[in-house]
Amino acid sequence: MSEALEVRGLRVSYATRAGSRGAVAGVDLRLERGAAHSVVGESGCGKSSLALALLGLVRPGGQLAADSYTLDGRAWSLERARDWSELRGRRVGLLLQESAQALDPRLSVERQLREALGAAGAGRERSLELLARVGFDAPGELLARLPHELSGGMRQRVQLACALATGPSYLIADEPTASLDALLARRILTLLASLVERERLGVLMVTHDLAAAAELGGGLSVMYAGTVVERGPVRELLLAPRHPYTEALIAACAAREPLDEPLRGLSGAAPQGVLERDGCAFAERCALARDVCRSARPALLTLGPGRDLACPPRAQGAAR
Amino acid sequence: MTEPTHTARRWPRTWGARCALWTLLALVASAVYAPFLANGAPLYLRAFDLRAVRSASAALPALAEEWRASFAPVASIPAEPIVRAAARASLELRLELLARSLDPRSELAAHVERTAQAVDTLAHAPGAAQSQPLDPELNARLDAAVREFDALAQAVEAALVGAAAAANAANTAEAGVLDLPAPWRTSESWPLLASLSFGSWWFALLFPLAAWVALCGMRTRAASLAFAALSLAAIALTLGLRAPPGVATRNLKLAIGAGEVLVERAVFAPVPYGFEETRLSEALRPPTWLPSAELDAQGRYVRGARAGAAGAARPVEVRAGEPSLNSWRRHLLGADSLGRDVLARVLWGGRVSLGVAFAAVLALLALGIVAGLLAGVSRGAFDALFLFVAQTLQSFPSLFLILVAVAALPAHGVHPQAATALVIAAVSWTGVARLVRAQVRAVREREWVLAARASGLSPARVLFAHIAPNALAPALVSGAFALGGAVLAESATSFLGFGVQPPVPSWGAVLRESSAVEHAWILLGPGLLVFAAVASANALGDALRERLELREAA
Repeated sequence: MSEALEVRGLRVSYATRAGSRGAVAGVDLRLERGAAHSVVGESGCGKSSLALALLGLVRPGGQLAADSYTLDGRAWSLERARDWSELRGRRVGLLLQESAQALDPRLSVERQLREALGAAGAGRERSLELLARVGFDAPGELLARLPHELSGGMRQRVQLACALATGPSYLIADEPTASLDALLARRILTLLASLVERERLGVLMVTHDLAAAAELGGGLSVMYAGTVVERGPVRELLLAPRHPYTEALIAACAAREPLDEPLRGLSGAAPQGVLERDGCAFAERCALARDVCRSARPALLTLGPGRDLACPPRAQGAAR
Repeated sequence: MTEPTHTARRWPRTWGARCALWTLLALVASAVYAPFLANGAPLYLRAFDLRAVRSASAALPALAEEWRASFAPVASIPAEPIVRAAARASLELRLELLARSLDPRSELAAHVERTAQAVDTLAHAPGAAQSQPLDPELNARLDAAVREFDALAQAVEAALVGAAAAANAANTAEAGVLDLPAPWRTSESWPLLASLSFGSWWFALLFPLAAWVALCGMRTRAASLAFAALSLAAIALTLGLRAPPGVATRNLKLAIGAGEVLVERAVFAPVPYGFEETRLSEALRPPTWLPSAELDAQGRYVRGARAGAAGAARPVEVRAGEPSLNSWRRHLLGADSLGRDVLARVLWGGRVSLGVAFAAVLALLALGIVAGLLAGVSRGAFDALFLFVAQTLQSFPSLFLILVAVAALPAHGVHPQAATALVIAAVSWTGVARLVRAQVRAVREREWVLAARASGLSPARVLFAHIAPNALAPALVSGAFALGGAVLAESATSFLGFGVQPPVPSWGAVLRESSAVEHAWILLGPGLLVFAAVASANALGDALRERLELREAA
């Protein structure tokens, strides 16, 4: 039995007036226990939808579907509410982007933790232990505080403590460092990395920050318009990108431009949610685009161990 | 948890809001304590109740005969122990009343004591079985007891002659002089306190706690302990201070005036009038601190427009405990068309007006919050139905709906005050419900709700523990505004005669009395109070909203 979270053909679509719009258009993903994996992409490429979908959560009006969802060797049904309630929290935790609204503004830290722990595990000792686990030196004085009395970094660690309260083996982190300054972001990433290493937590981090992905280590998937276009070990992928989009991302990052802006060296903007289409979604902005790119959707082909690419021109080049 | 207490103490920040809070508290306090402030019954009374003693003694022989008969079988039915116990209790009550009014060292008191003992010793004697004659020995003892009752009644009658003479003397002499002949004595009572219901006690005891919690905050556990203790105290006070049967608590002023209750000492409430105490000789008398309110001994006006008018003027009867005829504080807000004191009616009217308003607000908050939560989480048919009902209700003028419903309801035996409150709630819950619905829709998309769902909590738990508490703030603000609206709605219905029924006062009902321009001064009291209540409720709603917005921003 392999200890991994594995999903095949994950699709999230929203009904709009113009028809069904896919936010995630068929993604395969495998997250092993004790390993980290990052998903990067521009805003609106579907990476947040992907993260929530792994917990069975969709924004209102959304539809979730997948070919298979396997966790630690067991297949889970996407339709059964009982499966999800058993899986959420206890097997897979969620860490959201830091914001004033990431924690219930009414509840003190102690109440937040007690709420997360549930009736069975409630206890001051357990709360203090959790807070110590996410790196608080003096957790005792923190318990009575309300969220707005905490700094951003503290809030984020409290949120992490809540997510870990029910002892999940996997953690989905959706932009965990997005609104933190560089030092705090680094601290959270080190914390996540140490949880991966010491407690064999499987961490899937969704981010638009390549530096954060590099910091966390492990694998990296690059998403564009709801599909994964390139995948590989983060170091290898950053040093030797194959997909033109990955190259553009790295170039933009080197230029220290936020990824929310249109990318330098690329014309046009990333599509916000994809209508059903043939061909590569990136073709319109791609200098390498050929007829084959526009006529058929490129499959994610395996290049080497843990290295996948969905770009026919480059894949052919690599094969030669 | 020092922090919430701290913020609660700082609230409200602005001068205006603080004024509003204190005004509202003062209004509620005056309503809660109205029975202590304005009451026809004296707070404390040391008196001799000639009427009660006389009726007790007159009833003795007949009651004794009835008690004796309860031992013997009636037709073919055996003597019933329950009937006997009732007859005995009723006898003992009279004896107790006599004993209370008698000097314990007197011969008459000893006589009462002996009679009571005779009743006691015979109490457990066996009654006759079905169609059997009574045991001859028991029969003889019963006969003796009945003769003793006759003798006692005669002795009391004889002794009362002296007391009646004293009553006449007290009536003609200056007040405060009571020369009671032996063996009679005065007894103490607290008629005002004895006349209070459990509800009155409960509110009077809980109001300070509620005000403390609202102003300073309190730990939930301490507050609920205090709540339970004060509720028990209210039960104890209601039962402990209840006047013994046979001792009057109502119409005491009239009985004192008629010389039936001889007063040694009486302490009255600050406003010594009941809200339904009429006195036609003072009908529509202006506030007595105005020169135009001055009356002469024959009840004619000395000055002003009504001076010298040939009408049905008759001397004003100044009852026990009341300020003198032309004292400035006799009727501070004047008297209405039946000569009832307007101040007393305004104080008691606050109980109805504010009580109906608070009940209506509680009901509309409950209704609005439940409907809003349900509509907020549901989609499709229920939500569409909710919006249809809410919009339909809101498209009617609410006062019109209230009048129609209130006019229709009491015919089916609904309490008019409860009906008014329910109807106000039923007509105006839609605003709160729509606010809650919109807020639920906004809050359910917040990150912490997502996090709560992702941690595996059930949808119901997410709704009640994470969405609802954060969605209710606007409902509370809206509730504060609704309080002002409800006071106005109740006043309007009562003013039009659809709300409370006479003689129950409410601010609107008192306003109704000022039907002519000459009596415009009646408007003064109730009008000001309605204005103060509505204005302070609205100012408080504003302060609450600002505070919640601040918290939202923080």
